[in-house]
Amino acid sequence: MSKKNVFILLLFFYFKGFSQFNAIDSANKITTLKEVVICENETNKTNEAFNFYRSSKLASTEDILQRIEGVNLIRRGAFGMEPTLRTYSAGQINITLNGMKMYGACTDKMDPVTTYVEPNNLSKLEVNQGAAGGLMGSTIGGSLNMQLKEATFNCKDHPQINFYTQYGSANLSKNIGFSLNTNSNKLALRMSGAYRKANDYNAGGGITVLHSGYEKLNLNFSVAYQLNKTNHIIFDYINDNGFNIGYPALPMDVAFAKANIFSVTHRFVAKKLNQVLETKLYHNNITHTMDDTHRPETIMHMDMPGWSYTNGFYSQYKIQKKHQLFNFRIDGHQAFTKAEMTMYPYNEKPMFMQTLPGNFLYNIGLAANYLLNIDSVKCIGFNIREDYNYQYITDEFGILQWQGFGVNTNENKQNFLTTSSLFFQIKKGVFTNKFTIGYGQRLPTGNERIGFYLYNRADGFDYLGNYNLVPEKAIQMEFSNTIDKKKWNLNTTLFFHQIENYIYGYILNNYSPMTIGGRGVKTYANISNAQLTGFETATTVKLLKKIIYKGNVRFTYGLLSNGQFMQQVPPLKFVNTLRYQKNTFKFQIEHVLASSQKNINIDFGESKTSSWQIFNARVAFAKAIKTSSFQLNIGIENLLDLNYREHLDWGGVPQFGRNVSIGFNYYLN
Amino acid sequence: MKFKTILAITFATILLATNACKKDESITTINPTPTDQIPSNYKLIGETYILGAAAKAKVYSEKDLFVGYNKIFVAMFDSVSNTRLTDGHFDVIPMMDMGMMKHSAPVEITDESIPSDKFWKAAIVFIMPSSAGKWTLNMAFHNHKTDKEGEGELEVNVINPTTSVMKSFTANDSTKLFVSLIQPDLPKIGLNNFEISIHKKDSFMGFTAVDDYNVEIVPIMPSMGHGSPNNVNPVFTELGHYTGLVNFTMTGLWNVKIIIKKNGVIISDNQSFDITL
Repeated sequence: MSKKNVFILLLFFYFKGFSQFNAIDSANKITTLKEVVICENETNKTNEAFNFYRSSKLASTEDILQRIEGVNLIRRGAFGMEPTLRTYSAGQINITLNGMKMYGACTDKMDPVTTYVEPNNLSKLEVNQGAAGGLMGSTIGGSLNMQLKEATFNCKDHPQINFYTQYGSANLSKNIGFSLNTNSNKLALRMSGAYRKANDYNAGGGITVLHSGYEKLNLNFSVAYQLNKTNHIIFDYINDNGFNIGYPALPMDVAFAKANIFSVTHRFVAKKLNQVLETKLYHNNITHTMDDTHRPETIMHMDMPGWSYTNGFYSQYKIQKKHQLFNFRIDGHQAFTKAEMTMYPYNEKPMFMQTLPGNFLYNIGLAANYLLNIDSVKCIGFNIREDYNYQYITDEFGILQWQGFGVNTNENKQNFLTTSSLFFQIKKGVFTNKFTIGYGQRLPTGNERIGFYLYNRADGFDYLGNYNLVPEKAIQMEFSNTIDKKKWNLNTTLFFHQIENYIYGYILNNYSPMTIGGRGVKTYANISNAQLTGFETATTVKLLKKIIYKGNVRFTYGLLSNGQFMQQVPPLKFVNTLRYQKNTFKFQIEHVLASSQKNINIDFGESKTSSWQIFNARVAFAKAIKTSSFQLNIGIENLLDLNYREHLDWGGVPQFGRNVSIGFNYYLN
Repeated sequence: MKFKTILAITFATILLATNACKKDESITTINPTPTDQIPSNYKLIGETYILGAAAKAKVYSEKDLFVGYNKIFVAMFDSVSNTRLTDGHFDVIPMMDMGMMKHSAPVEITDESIPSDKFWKAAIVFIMPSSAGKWTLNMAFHNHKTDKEGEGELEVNVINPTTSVMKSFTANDSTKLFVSLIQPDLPKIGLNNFEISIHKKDSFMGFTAVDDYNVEIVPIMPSMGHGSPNNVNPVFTELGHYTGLVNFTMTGLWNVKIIIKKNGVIISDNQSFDITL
């Protein structure tokens, strides 16, 4: 791959402004992690080592997410970080896997669905902010779709193999994995496996963060069958098993988390009008079991299992005619979730309750997306989605629990949701301006509606759901400007969101917490409104022929109608990267700076976070011999071994200290 | 209330005096007992002749008699034909013979001459187990069919339940109180009816249902120290009964503390019932 191609790849990665010259491409902010293997792109692999945004192969999906603009992570440990989009999290955003809906089985959000995917299976991440992310599900915060690699057809007569192994010093982590793709004329098979094991990590200053180790095995199978030139059937299966995952910021760890993800896809691709019709049937299930047996502070042992089963389908049709692109999608799913708690007091009968009464959610949605290049400088885009949701509790036990609170959960909940956005883009010389307005709605989550005494470690309160919550809705405005010069470019996005019926936790007086040591009980209410505003800026400067500077700044400010600041809002963050590249040798130094965060939400139990800055350095070297290639990566993160915490890190748990990672990759192309 | 006390003493005396000499009147011809009208959850506690009323009493309860609030159901049969009697007046006095002394227990009588389900009903708060002496039910019946009156005595066995459902104690104002847990009998998750009865001891033979107290309940899970919201404090209904709602948010052992106030002054706040679900 030529340097120019690398540059483009990197731009795709970091710099959405670049792609905005083409409205069709800008519909989705696609983060290309690695190009899919295709015949005409064989040199791709050797360059992949220089994927500086994947800090190393050791990096999890979350590490990659973290480097995407507008994405932040709520961190409860070294594993299972929860992605947020401009502070929107959980039910406010729509996370999908190959377009499939999946619900985490843990009521404490230990298992955002991003944890069930390994980076070596990711082909791309599609991030859409705000209501513009409404194609795959109603949302106010945006969408994150993880597109997985699938078995591919190519013209090679031997299998393509990748093997990698990585080591990290801060938590003595080991990460090994492989992938294999092979195909005949009609059938293609892809298999991959990844195993990681990490001990407790050392924070800056050499302090060991207890209960932060984890172990995980992920297996992935994909079989593609070519019916004819235009029709394919693809079967995908992911099996993910996590064991003994530590969550230092929470009072419990995870004994195991098991996920099975199945899908069958039919894809029709016609060259004429660039048509793609894709239909998928899927099922996924998760069993998640928390574990307090390793915690010395446990007063009374408890079991807290959770389950999630989702069945669904979607059918999506894309057609392109010259300067017009039309996307139509229909999808539906049925999700069952349930979580329980059993406590074992000494010499007494076990105590039991349903922390999330077994419940069904049925959803059906229709979405359409239209893009038009009006002329060479102007384009316009529109998307709309309508959702119908039907939710009810199935468990008699849970219904009785709620009757104790005078809540009749025999009554089902039905909601119609609309998500819509419109943008207009105009290019003038080196300037490109884009205006977006959007309107989104999102369904209250199961936790928010029927969660029963769910402990939140952040504020120390047990949360009771509110069955009568109405959907949150938001009106959004966004302005983006890109300047593109030969030697540099600069993209700035400003946004303002007005959120109505904002779902917020408030204290229920005279309620005693279920959790030993809990501070009280809260429930959720729709408060009248909240405002979210901020900006993201990114720039790339070609300093010298072989040296590129990249920088980005992000800032978000959230205010609620009750006068409080919005919770979990990251402070100003500034990332500077300087990279040198000569042939297959790459060197990069990264500087990350975050300001202090004083705009905290007291209700949520937030504390102020000091500013910090860290330095990272990375070196990558690649060598190709015939069809094989080798890569060596060495990275040092947090060079100065600073003890710091990011604002979204729960429980005052510090981040990784100095971490030296060494990785080796082998490819047979 | 005084009348009832006098009545109780009178009855007891009559019963005790008349018992011994009437045993030879027992009738030996017993026809098959019609059992079709006995609900399946009723347990036969015992049977005895109501001497002089030409009747035989069969006493049922839903479980073995225990220290606490017991409902009894009495079916009367014609002592000759063994047919079910449907019309009459019934009364019962529980009597504890401890050898050195005798005492009674709080009783509620449902005053029906023609009970719809053919059972005369009463509730008795046994205030100690049979291990302390001998409990008898001294029953009186006025058989309207024959217009005869008589009495009968039945010895019963009263057990101490594994979990106490009756508290006897002396309140801060020196009143001797008996607080019995009536509901929940089969506790379930969520809201449960909560019912207690409060009786005070006037004498060995006289107990009065108290109807002018204010009662508050505080449920907690002792092993965790948390309570539950949405409880409704019991209020007086009738015959010394106080009814409210208790909310059990999870299964396991709950301890429901009972606070009793008289004229706004707490007279007891250290009694509680353990309830496991």
